[in-house]
Amino acid sequence: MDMDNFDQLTVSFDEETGNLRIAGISMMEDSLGFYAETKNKIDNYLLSHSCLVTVEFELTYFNSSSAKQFIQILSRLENNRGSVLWKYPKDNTIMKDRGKELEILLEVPFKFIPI
Amino acid sequence: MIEVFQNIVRHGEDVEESKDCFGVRCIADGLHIYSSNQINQQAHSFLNSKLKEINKLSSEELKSLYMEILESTELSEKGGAGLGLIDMARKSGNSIQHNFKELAESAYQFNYQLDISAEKGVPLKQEQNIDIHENINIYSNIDSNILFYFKGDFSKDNIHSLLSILKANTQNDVKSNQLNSFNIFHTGVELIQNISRHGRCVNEFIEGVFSLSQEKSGYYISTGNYLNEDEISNTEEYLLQLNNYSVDQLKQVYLQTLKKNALSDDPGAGVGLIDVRRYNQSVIDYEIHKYDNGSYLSLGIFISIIN
Repeated sequence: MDMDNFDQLTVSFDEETGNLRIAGISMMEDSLGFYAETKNKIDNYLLSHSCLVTVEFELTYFNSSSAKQFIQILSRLENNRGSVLWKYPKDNTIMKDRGKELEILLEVPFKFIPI
Repeated sequence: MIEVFQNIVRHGEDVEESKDCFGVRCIADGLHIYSSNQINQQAHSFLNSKLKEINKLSSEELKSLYMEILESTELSEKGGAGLGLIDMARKSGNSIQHNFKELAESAYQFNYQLDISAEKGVPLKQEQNIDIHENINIYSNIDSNILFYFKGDFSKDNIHSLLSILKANTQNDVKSNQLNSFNIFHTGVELIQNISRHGRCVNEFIEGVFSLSQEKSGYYISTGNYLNEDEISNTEEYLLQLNNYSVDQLKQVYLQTLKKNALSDDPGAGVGLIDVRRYNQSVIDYEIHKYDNGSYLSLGIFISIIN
């Protein structure tokens, strides 16, 4: 498990293209507070744009409270409002499986990309 | 702290049955940094004479000696020429407590303690300090299988450094198998954050314990924390129910619970312990005891290692 970027979670939302990227390790204690702004940005984007939102994950670890926040973020993409690119280290089957579990719970298309 | 830790690396001997350890105790007015490691005759002679010399010097004399060595080109084979020891004595303002226990011919257990006052630039008074023998007794009674032990405040701000230590150690120790590394780290994260979230505040902080120990065929993580009185029966019921699920049922339970809780306002997902149980495929050991401060939950799980 490559966790050198323990403190380097990247969350960036491009308000022009509607692309959200979440990369690194997501294991903060206050994930509800941490992702609140991201959820607001997506809500505002979906209100003012008819384009789809793409959420690109490139994580090496996430904790259970982050999983809940990911569902809250991705549920906004249901009803054909977006899709998910789930990038995972090619030798990390755990991260692939944890992405597959999120896919089961959501009506959002996922594309899995080993990197 | 780094200097004390590096002291083990600098002067320590590689031995199979090691009693080496490093620990920090923060008690009221001071921080007590302790290390214990096996050394050879040469290191014993060097440390014994250097520490005797350092402990006789005033703060001004320590400063002069430090500058003198720094300006000279003479460094010991191990690289420090005692600079680290002098620097620690300067920072502490107290004598460096130390003790050599002869183990066998040419082998000693070197116990070392640095005491630092919470008040900057002020040495600890004698009545505020801890005698090194108290720490020798405490640390030598810790089970030798314990790799890491933390007792203290599990508030949000405090657990970040705890998780950093866990991350650094799980990454190195079990690198050969990704699942082993993930299981130990993930179990640690979920249990530590569980205490932070559900642990009861006692004396103005969330008092808890976390330990990681090595077993014959794996690792064991145990935690302890006080419970809020209104959560006792729910916690017991929940753990009993969780342990009754078969391994095959757990993935379904995880998905159903995550889905059910996903849209609630509660910060947690309510699946941390389910994850701990399903990834390790072990039952969660638990006990709830009544103490004067309230009900205390002790919890543990075995993490088997896949070769």
